[in-house]
Amino acid sequence: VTSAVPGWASRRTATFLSFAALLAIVWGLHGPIRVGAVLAFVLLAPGTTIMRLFLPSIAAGVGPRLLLAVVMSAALCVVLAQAMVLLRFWHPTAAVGVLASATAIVNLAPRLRSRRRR
Amino acid sequence: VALAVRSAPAVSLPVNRERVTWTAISVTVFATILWIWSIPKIDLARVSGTGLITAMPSAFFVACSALALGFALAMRSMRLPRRLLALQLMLIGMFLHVTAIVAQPLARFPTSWTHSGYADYIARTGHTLPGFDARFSWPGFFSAAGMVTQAAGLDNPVPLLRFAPMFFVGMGAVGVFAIAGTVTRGPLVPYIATWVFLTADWIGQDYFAPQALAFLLEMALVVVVLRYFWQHPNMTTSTRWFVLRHPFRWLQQVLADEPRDTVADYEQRSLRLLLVALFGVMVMSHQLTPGMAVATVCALVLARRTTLRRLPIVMFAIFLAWLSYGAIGYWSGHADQLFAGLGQTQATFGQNVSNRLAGDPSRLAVQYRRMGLTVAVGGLATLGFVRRVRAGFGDLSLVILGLAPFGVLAGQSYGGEGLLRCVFFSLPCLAVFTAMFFGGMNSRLSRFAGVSLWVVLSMLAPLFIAARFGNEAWDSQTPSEHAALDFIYATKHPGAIKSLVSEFPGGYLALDTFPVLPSDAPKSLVTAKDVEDSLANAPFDVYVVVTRGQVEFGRLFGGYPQTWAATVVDDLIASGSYRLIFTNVDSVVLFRDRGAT
Repeated sequence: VTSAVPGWASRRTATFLSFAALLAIVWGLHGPIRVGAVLAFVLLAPGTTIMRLFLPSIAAGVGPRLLLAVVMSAALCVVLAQAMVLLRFWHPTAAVGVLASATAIVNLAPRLRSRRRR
Repeated sequence: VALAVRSAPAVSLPVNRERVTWTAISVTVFATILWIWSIPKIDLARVSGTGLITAMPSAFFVACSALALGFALAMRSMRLPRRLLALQLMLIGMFLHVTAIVAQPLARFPTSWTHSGYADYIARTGHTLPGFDARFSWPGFFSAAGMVTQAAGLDNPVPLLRFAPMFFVGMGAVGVFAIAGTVTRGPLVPYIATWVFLTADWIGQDYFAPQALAFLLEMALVVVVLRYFWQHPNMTTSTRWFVLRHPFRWLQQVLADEPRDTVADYEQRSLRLLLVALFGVMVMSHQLTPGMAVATVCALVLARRTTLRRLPIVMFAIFLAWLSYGAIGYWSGHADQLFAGLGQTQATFGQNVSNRLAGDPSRLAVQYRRMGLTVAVGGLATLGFVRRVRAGFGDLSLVILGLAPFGVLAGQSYGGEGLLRCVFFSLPCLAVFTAMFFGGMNSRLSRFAGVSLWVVLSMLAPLFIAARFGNEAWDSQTPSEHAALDFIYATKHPGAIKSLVSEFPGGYLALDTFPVLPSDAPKSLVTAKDVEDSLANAPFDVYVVVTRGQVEFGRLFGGYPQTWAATVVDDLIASGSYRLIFTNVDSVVLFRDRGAT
């Protein structure tokens, strides 16, 4: 199985976006930096991470990979937000913070990092 | 798109960067400079009944034509300059879709402001209002937007309104690129298809709206099904009378697809889960799109173009599950709305076509341009289909992708918008077939094809501006109009907001304190008596808001006289129940307290 993960969808990019969003939230930043960091994270990082873990070799063309990564990220956001609405447990900032932490951990975890190489 | 094509495999043709490529780069730079130069020259005061096109400087169209020339020249290169083509696609996307956003002081399109109010309500409260509007029964998009709004530290989702169209158009272009790359190995086709999509997408569903997200989900679903679960048709050797004995198999052979990739079994399992998840999100986000997705997958299964035989059953079960649980607030009590359109194709056609061909002559001109653009792209796509059949590929799966969405019209007119949505969902197919007409399997364009492509793309750009921004008289928003709403919000005196027509950006803040009463669409409130009848039983204070956009909508869409709204306002004030509390150049606010009734 050969990997076709391009640079923009790499582990480093996803980790960087996760930390950027997390720091912006934790530090309580306001303004374009936080908006940019959170938007970039929620629209790209979770999807690229899922694809890297479970679909490393599909979509050799980068068009499908970008589409799937963004769509998966957006879908995850919808599921998370809708679950909070249905469960009447509305803590959106905390939820995105937890999602960013989870994404960062998954991307940093050594076993998962080496999975693709194996 | 740039990301999408960056690491695509290069065509192995000998060559250095030849003169034609440098010419294409120069023309692209010239077009970009001309476009930037033309933006300040857009005169929004000249927006008329025919829309934004009257406000656009001619330099803008020259820039579009120059970029099309650069695009055609790049396609003539011996070695395809993929990065240049990606840049040109980004540029044409910006020329056609971002210019109007940049030139206007506020985010355009009233409905996007209304949606902002829904997302804002969920962001603040964590609840939906299923009894308030049908869209709250499919709240996935609004919930996600509310979550992002809070996490991004925004007071409300309004700043996202300008960003949304750029994101959705960009990702839509990536989706078309992906679909084109899936159904053919012709190296030019994805680029041309993406350009055609960007210039033919006049339907304008890429604003801050659930259907924009649902469209992306549907495209991703289609890409996965067509690319990784494609089934090779059973190609039997032809025998005598084969056509008569096995017409369906013969048709399958005539409409054969190009062979596609396969993936490992464990990845197919992940992809199956992904498809179910994507459809689940689609179902909780939008009413109509799941129907189109089910129709498309069903048709692919029936045509034996996918191995996912049980997927339609799973999709239908998910659809019914959400309808029975999440959307019960919508259909309980008026299930007739859900099924009234079944089989009423003539009425559906009337609502979708005949009713739209009415109003002011300038409005009719816009509608005819829209039909002209759709027919032009449809005609080119038909030529592309014929060319493909002659080359031995009928691309049945692509044909299904283009036709299946129209199946939902048999069950729903969707308030007269169903046909528009179907055309929107079939656009990727039309764009790819159009690209196949020009590009085929070639790795570079011939001189004749290059000139033809340039001429066609140059003509599509102004047609697109005329069609897409034809409603700009009421789609654009002015600060003066929003000053009226800001005034109401600043009073902090709770009350319902009422407009005369449906095209009104009300309710973008504080939906719980200042709810917007449902519009009386398709009927407008054209007299003071209409307004009073409409509010007769309202047991609360009411703000009646009349804005420039509403006046223009009534004049152009309803064919009312120029002074129709002024007359309504004067008559309401004369009735004694309403008093004028705010006015400026673009808006009027009347107030009626509950004791007045």
